[in-house]
Amino acid sequence: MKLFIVLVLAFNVFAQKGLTVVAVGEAEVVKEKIVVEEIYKEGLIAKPDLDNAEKILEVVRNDFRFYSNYFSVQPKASALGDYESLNYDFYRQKEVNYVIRAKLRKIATQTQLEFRVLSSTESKVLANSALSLTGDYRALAHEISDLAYKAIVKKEPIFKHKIVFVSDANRKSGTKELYVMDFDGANVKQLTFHRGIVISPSVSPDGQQILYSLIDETKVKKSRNINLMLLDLRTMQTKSISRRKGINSGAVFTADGQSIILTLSHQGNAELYKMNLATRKLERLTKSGAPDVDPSITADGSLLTFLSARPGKPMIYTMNPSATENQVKRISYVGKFNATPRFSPDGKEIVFASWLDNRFDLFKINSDGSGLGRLTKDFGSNEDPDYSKDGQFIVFTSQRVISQSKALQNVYIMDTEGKILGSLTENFGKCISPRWLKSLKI
Amino acid sequence: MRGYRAVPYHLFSLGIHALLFALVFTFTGTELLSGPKEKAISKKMRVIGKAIKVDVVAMPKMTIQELKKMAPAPGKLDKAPAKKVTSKGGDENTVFKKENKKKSFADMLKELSQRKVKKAKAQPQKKAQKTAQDSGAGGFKGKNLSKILALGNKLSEGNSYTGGAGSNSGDIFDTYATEVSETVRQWWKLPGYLMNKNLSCRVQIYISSRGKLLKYRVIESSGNKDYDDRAVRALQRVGSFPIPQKEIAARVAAGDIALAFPL
Repeated sequence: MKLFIVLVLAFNVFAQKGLTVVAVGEAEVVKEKIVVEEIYKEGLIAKPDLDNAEKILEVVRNDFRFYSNYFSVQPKASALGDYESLNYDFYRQKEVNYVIRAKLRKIATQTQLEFRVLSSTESKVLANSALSLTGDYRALAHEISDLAYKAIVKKEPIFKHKIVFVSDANRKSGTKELYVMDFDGANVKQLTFHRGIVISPSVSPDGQQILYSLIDETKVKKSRNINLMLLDLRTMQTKSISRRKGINSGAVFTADGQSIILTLSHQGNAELYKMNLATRKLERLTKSGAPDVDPSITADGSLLTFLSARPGKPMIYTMNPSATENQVKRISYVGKFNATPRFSPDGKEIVFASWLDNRFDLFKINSDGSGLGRLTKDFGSNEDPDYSKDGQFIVFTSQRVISQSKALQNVYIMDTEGKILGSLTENFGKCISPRWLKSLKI
Repeated sequence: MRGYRAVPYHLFSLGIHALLFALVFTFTGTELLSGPKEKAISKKMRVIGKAIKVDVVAMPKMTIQELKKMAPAPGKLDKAPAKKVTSKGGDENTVFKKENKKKSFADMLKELSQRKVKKAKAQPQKKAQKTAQDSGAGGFKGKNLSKILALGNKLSEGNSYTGGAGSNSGDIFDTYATEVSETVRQWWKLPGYLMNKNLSCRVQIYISSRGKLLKYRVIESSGNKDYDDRAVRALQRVGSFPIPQKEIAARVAAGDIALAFPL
């Protein structure tokens, strides 16, 4: 190590084509300051339109607060000067990097919301667009945030993404249905009406289909089975995918969306299978005496992680799902009871829940088994984590016991290092199994 | 009599066997069989060792957030290279020693005079440690390595890689180049979304004899315009660069220095 450092030191200043190249070193990480100004008006604007526009801009401010590792959202600033010309110097002096400016404008009978994203450091307009002030104002706000974020970061944010979850809210005791909400917890809609117990939802890569398991409560107890269902969000039609005896559960889509990987116990022991959705043909992936459940697959489909009781207690494993028992590798060696391993979008990390100090907490580990780190602590019992599509957030559920008969369980969001941003559901029954759903109008 | 025959006989037999077993067991523990037994134990130990390695490790009690607040890793790593400064000096000396075999006593005195320069450098190093700690970097994703490299950069003064054979101008030039990089580093800032992307760019700089930036040229782009722009902005935000010594002023103004962001 010493030798290595010495060698590295020796090469820090070196000549390149007659030049002497000097390393500046790693940059200091800074948060970019962003301001969403108050609304500009052009012509006579009705009061409801004005109120809606102000609400939209407040949602935009809130959207950027989610990316608190990147941005520091400044308090709203009053509209200064002419809409067309930003006083870049003014904001540079205040060390504000980006400004979002919006204007309401009446065109014939329509009210338009124009907006632009400006960079004070570069003294230029990064994005410029206009939307008609109709429909759901929150959707318009997320649209503006989405365009602004893309103009600044050059990556797709989560603002137009949704979260699917299961809740017993407003239901007959014991039954649970599937719901969907915006990424920020607003706009909750019910998706299934089975009067049964919905568990383990999973969204297709294109965001158009949802797999889930259903325990049919309308049947008598003996004939209840855990069946696998598929909901098409374009038609809102539900169909049955697998009704084999025993467990038909924990299914996830493969990267191409053509196949699913699921747990079946029709042959006695719970094992993982791959099923082609068109032909329904099965291909066995695991073959062991112990139950193998809870699969999660990388975006490129090369690595599968699952939970197996092979060592005597549930531990995390990975495998190449191209054949049965292919390159099976144990990843976790600690924890009394590990659960729900889920890959990050780049497939480099696995987040999971583990039983510690009489509750579940969330941990993450590199997919090669290194770098085990703890994410949650002293925050109730935390389970069911799921990475956002951009890899910047993890949604999970957190349960708090109020009394012997009452417990609260809500969906929360945190960054990938365990900084909790807040709860997304409140007073909506016991919420479980949150899963990200890539932008789709539902 | 029956009782006397049956029970005591079996008890006697059991006692004898137990004694024999105990004797054998005792002897196997002595020097007689100690060699093979040690081997057997050590073999077992290896296996057990593997098991222990796995089972003793528990789920981490502290969260990543708590560890970051404590920031033990950056502290330790910052100290480590700092220690290396002295040992590094020793290593440098070993290089010099080889040269000294051929060099005169006067050269040795020069070398000693260079050590004084090192003391003057101690301050910027502290600064870098501060910025590194302030930024909260370290402990994850190989940042520590980068930090070692960054710190190492400052420690590498006095090495002569370019020109100046027989004179000290190479050393002066490298020292100056390092000072320039330190000046720029204070303004080298990136937002979170540009970190950990393995981006790097190189910018050639031309500095006047009065320490003003005459011009710059991105000689190696990172492929990300935003990143390159921010590197250039760091240069531009430096009000005045250190004033180069006369011997090297011409080379500095001719653009002989290029800055690598980060390495």
